[in-house]
Amino acid sequence: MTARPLSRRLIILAAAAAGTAGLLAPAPPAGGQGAPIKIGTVFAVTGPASSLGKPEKDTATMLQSQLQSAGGIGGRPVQIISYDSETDPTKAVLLIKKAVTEDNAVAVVGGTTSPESQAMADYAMAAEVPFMSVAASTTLSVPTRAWVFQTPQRNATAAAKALEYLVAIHAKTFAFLYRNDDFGQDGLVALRTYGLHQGVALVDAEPFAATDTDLSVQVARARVKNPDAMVVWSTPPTASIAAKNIRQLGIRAPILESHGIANRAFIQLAGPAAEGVVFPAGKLLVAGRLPAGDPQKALLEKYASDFEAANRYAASTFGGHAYDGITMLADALRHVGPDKARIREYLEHVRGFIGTGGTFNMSPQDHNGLGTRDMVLVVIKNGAWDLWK
Amino acid sequence: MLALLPQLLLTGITIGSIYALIALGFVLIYGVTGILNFAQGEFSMLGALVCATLLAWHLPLATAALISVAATCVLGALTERLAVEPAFGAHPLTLIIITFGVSMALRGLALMLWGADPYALPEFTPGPPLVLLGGVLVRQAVWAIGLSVAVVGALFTFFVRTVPGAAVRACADNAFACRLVGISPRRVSLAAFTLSAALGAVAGIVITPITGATYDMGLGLGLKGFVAAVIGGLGNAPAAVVGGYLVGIIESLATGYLVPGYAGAITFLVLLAVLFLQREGVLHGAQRRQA
Repeated sequence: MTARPLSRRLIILAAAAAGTAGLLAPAPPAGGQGAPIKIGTVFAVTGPASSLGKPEKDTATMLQSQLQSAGGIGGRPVQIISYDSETDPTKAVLLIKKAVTEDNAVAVVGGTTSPESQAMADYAMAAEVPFMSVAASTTLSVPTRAWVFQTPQRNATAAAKALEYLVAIHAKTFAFLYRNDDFGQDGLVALRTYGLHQGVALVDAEPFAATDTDLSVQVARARVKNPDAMVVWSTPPTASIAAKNIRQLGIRAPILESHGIANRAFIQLAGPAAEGVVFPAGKLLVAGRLPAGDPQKALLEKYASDFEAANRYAASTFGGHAYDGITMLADALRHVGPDKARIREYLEHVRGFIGTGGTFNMSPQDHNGLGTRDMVLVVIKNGAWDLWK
Repeated sequence: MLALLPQLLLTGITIGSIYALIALGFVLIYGVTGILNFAQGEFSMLGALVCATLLAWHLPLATAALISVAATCVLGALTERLAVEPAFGAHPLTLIIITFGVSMALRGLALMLWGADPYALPEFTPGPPLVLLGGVLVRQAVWAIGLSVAVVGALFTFFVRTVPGAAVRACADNAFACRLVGISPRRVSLAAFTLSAALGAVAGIVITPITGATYDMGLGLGLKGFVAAVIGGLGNAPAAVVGGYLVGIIESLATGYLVPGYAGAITFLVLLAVLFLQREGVLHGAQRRQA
């Protein structure tokens, strides 16, 4: 008995739902005619690298709606498909494969961490699909691989920029404290090599583990060599612990850190020890302080304000890497259409493309296209970032 | 090379004080229930992160710390009631795997709530580090050392001088006999988890000004604390504290004089050596009953 009125109510509900759907269905797809062009993205939205992958994915979502309101590309809608790799290289490979084989994506952007990017690059080479990596390991684009491109400034580029600081302050010797993994070792090799050319000698190298809770032993060993500058190559928390330990042990030498500290966490954890620390970074951190003539200034300010309007947190360089990858692909699609080989060919010859990471000048020998001119030296002053001069 | 020694020892003591506090939590639960609680490091992580969040909401440090310890206590009790108690009487291996599961679940939860970025807490008594014998010791390390000594003292008083303490020891000795005289081993187990959650939270809050707090800090801390507890014989609180300092000093000396960057590997080599040489620990063999 009670079932009947319920089922009647259900029918009414269903009819209402169908009516609503009927009203919505005839609306034309917002982004032009024809089947959508698909771009795959695979970011570490969750997992240990989520603080990088989340802004990357949010940037992709933002660009999707911007492309849609612009009416797609060449009269066809563009669909950006987002997958979460959970900071797992195995999942990242499965997802790039899914994007290419099931979704028919014409190109893929992603690979938040270097291990994920390496695995995805191997797949992109085998499947012959353009892949824009958003990770910074130098080996991703050195040596150059046909289908693999890289949007962040390479670790080696950051190291070269960092060395400019040592040269500028007339340091003759430096000690190098580094996290003992591919990131730290990348930095060690690059700084030692560039230092040799510029007359700045590495006098001590001290590795540590990402999980170490105190680095004063490494600092004490470095102090014995009495270097002109202390260089730290890691990310917080160890990057902050190193800065604190250096000051606690009474060392007054300038501290140079890596681009791995370009987030608020470093300043919060290091406290007063962060004051005066210099590090190389993309220009996004100091967009407001760039000179008016800087070619990137307008783009950086627009990206930051668009991002902050769409999301409830501040834009970061990581989201910027995804922005550069997707907008460069959109540029390629505009010029050559959705053809993988022609997209690859176009990307390889991109010149003067202004992105958040810098002005990209690609070539068959350089699939990154950025140099030290695209980075700035940032100093931490009163708990905030400023341009170092 | 000898010039390095004072700093190496002081650094060893700083790291050691952290391990000692975690080891105490292990010993407390193991001594009472015979369970190795691998979620112990997660209690520290949660204590530290909750405290950092409350501090960001402009609560005074002491209030934030108290609330955070209380919250972690509740979590410790829930862990016991929801995960360990239903498997009461199961094989110890099963219980250990359950605590592993709890630790993974808590870590995942923390990653969702706090993300992967590290959080900071201010030093309790800010100021320049103390200079001792040519080495430096950060002020926060003095807090950690003092705390580990105070906790050992309090546990000793509790177990040796009070009736509930005696009941707990009795449970560890013979649960069946305890039930015969009206002591509930289940209630004692609940108390042990609650208390060691509190201990873990306090340890997390005290060490965060030195190390920073991240969602995944619990695993590393838990393993190092476990090594310290094993060296101390697993059932003996003062020996576990000594074990903690020993691990800290071994790590620091190995980093200073042998190879930097492999402190963790050396710790686990020490653990293996201890387990091979004497299954009950080097400091006090078969001390479990004296807790």
